[in-house]
Amino acid sequence: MRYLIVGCGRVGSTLAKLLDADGHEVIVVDEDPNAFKRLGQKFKGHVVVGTGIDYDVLKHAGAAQADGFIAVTNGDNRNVMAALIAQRMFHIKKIVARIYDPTRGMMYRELGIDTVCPTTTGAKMIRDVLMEAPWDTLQSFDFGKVTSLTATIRAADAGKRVSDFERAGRIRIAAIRTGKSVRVAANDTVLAESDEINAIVAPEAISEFAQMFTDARVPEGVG
Amino acid sequence: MFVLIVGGGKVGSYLTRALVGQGHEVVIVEKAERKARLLEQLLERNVTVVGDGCDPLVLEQAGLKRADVVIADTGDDEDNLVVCLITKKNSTAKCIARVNNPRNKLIFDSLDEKNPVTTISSTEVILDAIHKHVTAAPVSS
Repeated sequence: MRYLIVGCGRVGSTLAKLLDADGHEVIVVDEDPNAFKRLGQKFKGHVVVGTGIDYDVLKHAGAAQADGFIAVTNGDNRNVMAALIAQRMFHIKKIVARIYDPTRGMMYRELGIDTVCPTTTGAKMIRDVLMEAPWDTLQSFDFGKVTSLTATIRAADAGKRVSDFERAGRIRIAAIRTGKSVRVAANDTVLAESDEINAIVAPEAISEFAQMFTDARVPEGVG
Repeated sequence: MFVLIVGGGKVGSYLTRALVGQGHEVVIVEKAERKARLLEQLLERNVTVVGDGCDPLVLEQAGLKRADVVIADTGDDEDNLVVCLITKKNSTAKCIARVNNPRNKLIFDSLDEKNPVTTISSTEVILDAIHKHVTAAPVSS
């Protein structure tokens, strides 16, 4: 596949190296020729000096033959403009733009541009580390505050049903992984130890969810 | 008419002066507070909102919903494009945008086919003038 990346900052260069290592053809565009130093010696792709919001620059970079387009400059407005040029003038099928502002990210998604919002995702990951959360934030829906979380069933909870962990309107179990097999949860599905569950959790129920999967800590120095 | 202008540079300030003189209601959104204050002194009017005109909340505060015309006249095409995107999403106002790179006009045109954004590119205006001058000039041999 041929991927065109606009913006050779930390994210742009890291992504370029990842895709290059996977054997894809990668072209990186940046206004600052010094930015390409981040790509390192091993990078086999191409670089183009210029602004990513210019039709001619993108054409020169091969946008017309690109399978995917990624806009990761440090400006949200530049990213959406580059993405719109890619979509409407080059008809690139897969377009992803990094948008720091969650509100605008949602708006741009309506235009058919996939947006990634590091603000929401980053904040959620920091919260999880801070709370020593027993789950991984799988996917953050940045158009709402609802979070998708995974947790592992403890021995003490083996034999409980999906409905025992659900809270109407706040916690919903979506899927269960047992070893390598994954199935969609039903209310009466019986859970076994070390089953992994994927739940959709409302913001006000996050600590409640955490408590269900964290061993109650015995206060030190008591008894 | 109520005109909302995003960008308090030279174009924005001269536009405001003229529009206010014609009896229109005008609000200018300007990011730099110092620039906004200078503008108010110059115009002797309280017409500025300090904030990022590419932020939907700032535009709403400035009165986007009841605007008849929104003018995106910052020096950056990408910022003007975002102003138009937000306007098209949240109001029925007529959109006028300054476009530096004439090629970018196509993107502005694609935003709304029924009620198109009016784009003004000084680059193109100058190019046209040169073209007319060249074609009008007698061929010297």
